[in-house]
Amino acid sequence: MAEWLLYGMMGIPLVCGVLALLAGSDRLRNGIAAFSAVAVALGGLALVWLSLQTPGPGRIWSLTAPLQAGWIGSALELVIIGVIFAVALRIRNFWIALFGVIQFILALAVNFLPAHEEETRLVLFRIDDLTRIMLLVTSLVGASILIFAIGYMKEHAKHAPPTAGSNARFFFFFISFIGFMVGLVCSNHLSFFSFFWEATTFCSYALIGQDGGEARRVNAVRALFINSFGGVLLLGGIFLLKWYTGGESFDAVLANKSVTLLPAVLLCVAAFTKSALFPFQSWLLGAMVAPTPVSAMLHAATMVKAGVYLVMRITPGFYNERAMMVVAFAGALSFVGGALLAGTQSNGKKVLAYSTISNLGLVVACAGIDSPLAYAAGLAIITFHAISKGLLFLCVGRIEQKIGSRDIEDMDGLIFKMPFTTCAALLGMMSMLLPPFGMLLSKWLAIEATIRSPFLLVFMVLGSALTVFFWAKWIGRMQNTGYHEHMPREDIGLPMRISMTLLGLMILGTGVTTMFIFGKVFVPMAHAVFDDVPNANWQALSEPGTFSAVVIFAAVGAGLLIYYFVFWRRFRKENVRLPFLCGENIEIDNVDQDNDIRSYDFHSVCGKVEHCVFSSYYFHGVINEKLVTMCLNWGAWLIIVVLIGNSIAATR
Amino acid sequence: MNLTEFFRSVWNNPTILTILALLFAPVFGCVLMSLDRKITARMQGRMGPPWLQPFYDLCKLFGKQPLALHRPQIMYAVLHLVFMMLVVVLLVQGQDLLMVLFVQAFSVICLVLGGMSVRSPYSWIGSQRKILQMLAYEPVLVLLILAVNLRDSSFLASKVMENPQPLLFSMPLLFLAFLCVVAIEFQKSPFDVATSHHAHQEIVKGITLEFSGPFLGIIEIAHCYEMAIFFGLMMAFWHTSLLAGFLLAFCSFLFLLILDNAFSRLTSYWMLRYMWTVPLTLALANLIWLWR
Amino acid sequence: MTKATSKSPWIVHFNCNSCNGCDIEFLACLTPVYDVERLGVVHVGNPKHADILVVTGSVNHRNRRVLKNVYEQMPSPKVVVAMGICPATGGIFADCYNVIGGVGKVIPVDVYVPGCPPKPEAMIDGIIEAVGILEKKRCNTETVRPELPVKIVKPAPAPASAPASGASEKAVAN
Repeated sequence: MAEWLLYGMMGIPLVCGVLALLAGSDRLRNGIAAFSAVAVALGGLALVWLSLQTPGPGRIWSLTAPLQAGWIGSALELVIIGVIFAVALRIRNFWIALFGVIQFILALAVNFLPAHEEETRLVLFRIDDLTRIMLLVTSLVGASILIFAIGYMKEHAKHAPPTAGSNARFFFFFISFIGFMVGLVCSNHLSFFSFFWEATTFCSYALIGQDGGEARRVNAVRALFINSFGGVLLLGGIFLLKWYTGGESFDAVLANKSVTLLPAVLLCVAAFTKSALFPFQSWLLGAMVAPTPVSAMLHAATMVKAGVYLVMRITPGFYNERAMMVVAFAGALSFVGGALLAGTQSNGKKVLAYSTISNLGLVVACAGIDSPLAYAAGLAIITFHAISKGLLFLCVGRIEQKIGSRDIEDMDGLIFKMPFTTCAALLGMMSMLLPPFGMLLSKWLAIEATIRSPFLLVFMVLGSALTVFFWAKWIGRMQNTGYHEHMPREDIGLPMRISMTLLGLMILGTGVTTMFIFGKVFVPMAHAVFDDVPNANWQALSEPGTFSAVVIFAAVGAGLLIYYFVFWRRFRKENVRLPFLCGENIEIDNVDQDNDIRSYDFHSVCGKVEHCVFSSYYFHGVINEKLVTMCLNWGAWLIIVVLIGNSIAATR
Repeated sequence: MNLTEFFRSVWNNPTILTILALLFAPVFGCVLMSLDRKITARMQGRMGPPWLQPFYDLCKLFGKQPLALHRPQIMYAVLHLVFMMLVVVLLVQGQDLLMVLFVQAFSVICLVLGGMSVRSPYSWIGSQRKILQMLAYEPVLVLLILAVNLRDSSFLASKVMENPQPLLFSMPLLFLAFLCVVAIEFQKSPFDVATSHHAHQEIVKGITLEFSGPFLGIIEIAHCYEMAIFFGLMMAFWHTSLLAGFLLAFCSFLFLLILDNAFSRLTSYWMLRYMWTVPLTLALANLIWLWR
Repeated sequence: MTKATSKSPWIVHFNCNSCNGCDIEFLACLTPVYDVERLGVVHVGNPKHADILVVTGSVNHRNRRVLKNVYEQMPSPKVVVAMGICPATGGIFADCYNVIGGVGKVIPVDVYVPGCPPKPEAMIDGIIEAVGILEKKRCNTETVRPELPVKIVKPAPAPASAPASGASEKAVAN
C-alpha cells in the first residue's frame, strides 16, 4: 500500500505537470494544479501515517528492490545530467558543460565500481523520522504555495514582461518540483537521490528564468552553475563512497564511519551549495527575480531544504569531532553573515533571502554541534522556518503585486490598505522572532546547546541579536499607520486567501503546541539518532520541559483581554489626536478620512506643505554590502578548505 | 504562629511570593526613581521633588484624558506592561533565564512597535534607537546568562540561587559589562538615546512621545517593573546575603547616577560600537575564564 | 487624584512670538536658585505629556495655528498660563501689522502673569495659581473656545518710486 502511495506521490505531480503543460485553457490548468495540491497534501499525510504503522524501533519503513533496480536510478541520473548538459550547450556556458561532463563520467564510473557481494537487495526508498518531517513540510507547505500560485499567476500574466514564459510551462516545472522533492527526501539509494537532486536543480533553473529577459537569464544561469558545482561534489562524494565501502546508500555512509569521512564531507559541501550558505549564497539572492511563488517554493518547501536535509542526514555519520566543529562554524558564519546583511537591506525579498540563509546556517550549525539538543533544535528550525517563510514570501509577493514595490520603506501604512495580507505577514514575522512561537524556542535551544563551545557561542549570540534587529524594523514599518475607524475589506482572490489562511493556521497551530511537538517529536528523534553518543548533553534535554509555552500564551491572552475590555471599548473618536509635529500639523477636520500619508505632512516656510519621510536604520555608510560579502565569502571558502583538508588528513 | 515562621512560610510559597513580587516591584521601582531624582537634584545643588513624586506622577497620569493616535498603539503599551510583569513572575518562579531574557526582549519590542505604529517622526526615531539599544545590549545579556550556566550548569534561576558562592567572585568582569546594560535599561547617560527623563532632549521624548495620559502611565509602571527587575538582577550577583546584595546593587545604582550626571548623551552608533567592543570583550574574557 | 494632579504639574513651554526675555527667565526658574522641581514641575517639552501650557510672546497670523494645535494635543485637564505682557495683550507689539494680540484670542487662558519679563517669583506664583485651577478641572472639563478675532491686514501701499523697485529686483536677479 505505502509503496504505491510513494510512487503516486512522486508520479502524480509529474503527470499533473505534463497535463498542465498540455492543458488548453487556463481554467483546466488551474483545476489540475488545485487537484495536484490537494493530492500532494493528502498523499503526504497518508504516507506519513502509513509509514508510522511500521513496527520496530524508529518505525522505519523501507522499500527494497532487487539489485538491478539500482540501474534505473543510474539511468535516470544520466538522463537528467544529459538534459543539463544540453541546456549548457544551448546557453553556451562552458563551465556548466564542463561540470556536466564531469558529472556524467562520475555517474557512469560509479556503476563500474565493485559493489558489496553480500547484498542481494537494495533499499531504494526509506521513510524514517527525518523523512517524515521533510515529507510533511514539502507536501503541506508545497501544496499551500501551489494553491497560491494559481491566484498569483493569473494576476502575474497581466503585467508580466513580454519575454515571460507561458503559465503552462510554469506549472509544469512548479508541480513536478514537488514530486522531485518528495522523491529526494525518501530516497535511500544515492543514485536515486542524485537524480532527484539534479532534477530539482534543473527545475529551479527553469523557474528562475520563467519571466525571461537578461536579469533572469543571468541569475538562472548562476543558479544552475553553482548547483552544478554542487552536483559535481555530490557525485564525487558518491563515487568515493562506493570506492571505499562498496555501498551506494545512506546506510553505507552511516554504517562505516571510520572510512566515509571524506565522501560525507563532500556531500556536506554539496549541501552547502544547495542551501546557499556562504560562499554559495549568490544564487539564492539572484533567484529573487523569479515570480514570488517560485521564491517561496525554493526557500520554504523544497530546494534549500534539500541541502539542510542532506546535512542533517549525514552529520551523525561524522566520527571526527573536528570536522563536526568546522561544519558548525560554516553554519554559524552564515547565520551571522545572513542576519547582518539582512539588517542592511531595504528590499523586502532580499531581507527574506538573507534571513533564509541565516536560518539555514543555524540549522547547519545545529547539525554540527554534535548534541541531541542541537539536533532537535535544527529539526525544529527546518519545520517552523518552512511554514513561516512560506507565508512571508506569499505575503510579500502579494504586496508587490498590489503596490508595485518590494521595498520595505514602501510598505508603510499597509495594514489599512490590505489588512488580510498584512496581518498574515505580521503573523509570519512575529513567528520568526517572538515567544512562544517555534523559531524562538529553537533558537533558544540552539544557544543552550552551544554552551560548551564559546567561540561558536559568540556567533550565535550576535546572530540572534541581529535577527531581532531586522525583523523588528520591518514589523514596525508595516504596521505604521494613521487613524482609521474601521478596517476596510481587502479584495483578494480565493486561492490566495485559502493558501495564506492555511499557512497562518499552521503557524498558530504549531505555535500553541510548540512545547508538545518538541517533546513528543523532535526530542525522541534526536534520542534515536544520538543513541551511541556518550558525551551527549542529556540533562539539557529535560530542562526545557519545565517551561511551558502556555504561560506566555496566557500572558498574551490576558493582555489582549485587558486591552479589549478596558481600552478598546472605551476608545472614542474624540480622543484621537494627530502626532506631535511641533504644532505644525496640517489640520484635518475628519481624521478618519485622513489619507494615510497626510498625517506626516507639515507646514514649512511660507505655508508650503511638506511631506516628511522617515527611514529605518540600514547602516548605510557603516556596512558596505559588497565588502562584507567578500569577507564572508573568503571566510567561508577558508572553512570549506579546512573542512576538506581535515577530512583528507583524517582519512589517511 | 510567630513572625519568623510566617515570613518563612511566605518565602517558601511560590504563589504568594509571586503575587507579592508583582505588587511590590513597581513600588520599589518608584522608590528607585524617586531616589534618582532626589539625588540628581542634590548633585546639581537643588532641593529636588518630594519623595513621593513618582507616585503623584503616576496617579495624575491615570486621571487624564486618554488621548491616542489609534487603537493598536494602546495594545502595545498594555502588552509591554504585561510582559514586564511576566518577567517578574518567571524570575520569582525560578524559570529558565534565557526564556526570561526573551520575554523581556519581547516586552521591549512591544514598546518599540507601539512607538513605530504611529506616524510620528520623533517617536519613530526613538523606536529605531531603541532597537539599536537592544542590538547593543542583548549579546552581553545572553553571554551573562551563558556564563551563569557554565558555572552552575543550569539555566534555571532557582538553581543559580542554590550555589553557596556569590556570583560576583566568579564573574567580576561580567558584572561591569552588566552595569552598562543596566545603564541602558535605566535610561542613563551616555546611553539614553531612545528616550530620557530629562527635559528638552533632541528627539522631544522619543519613543514615549505619542503616549499620553493613562497610556503613558502604563509605560511608566512597566518602567518601574523594569527598574526593579534590573536592580534585583544586580542584587543577584551577591545572592548569598540579602544585605550584601542590596549594598552592591545600591552602590552600582549610585555609580550609575554619578555617570548620568557626569556624562553627556552620545550618539546611538557610538553606543553600539562601545557595547559591541568593551562590554562584549569583558564578557567574553570572563566567559573564557569560566570555561572548563 | 486631586492631590496627585496638584503635585505633579508637567509644563510645556511654547514661544509664540517672544523676544526670548520671558523664555530665558522662565527656564532660569529650573535652576538651583528657584528650583521649581521641588513643586513637582517637570519641563516636558511636548504637549502630549503636559498639564500646563506656558505661552510667551504675542500671537501672530502664522503661529496662531501652531498654538491651537499644541493646545489641542494636550490631554485634559489642562491649564494655560500667559507668561509676560505680550501673551496677555500683545504688549509693545500689539500694533504690528502681523500681530493678532494676546493668546486669549486663540485659546482660553487661565492665568495671566504680567511683566516684561515677569520676575521669577511672579512666574512661580503664576504656576502655583495655575495648579490651583488645574485641581478643579477634570478630564472631561469642557473648555470654552474663544471667538477668533477677524483682523484684516491691509497690504502696505505700493512704493511711490516704481523705478527704484525695478532696480532692486534687478539687483536680486543679478
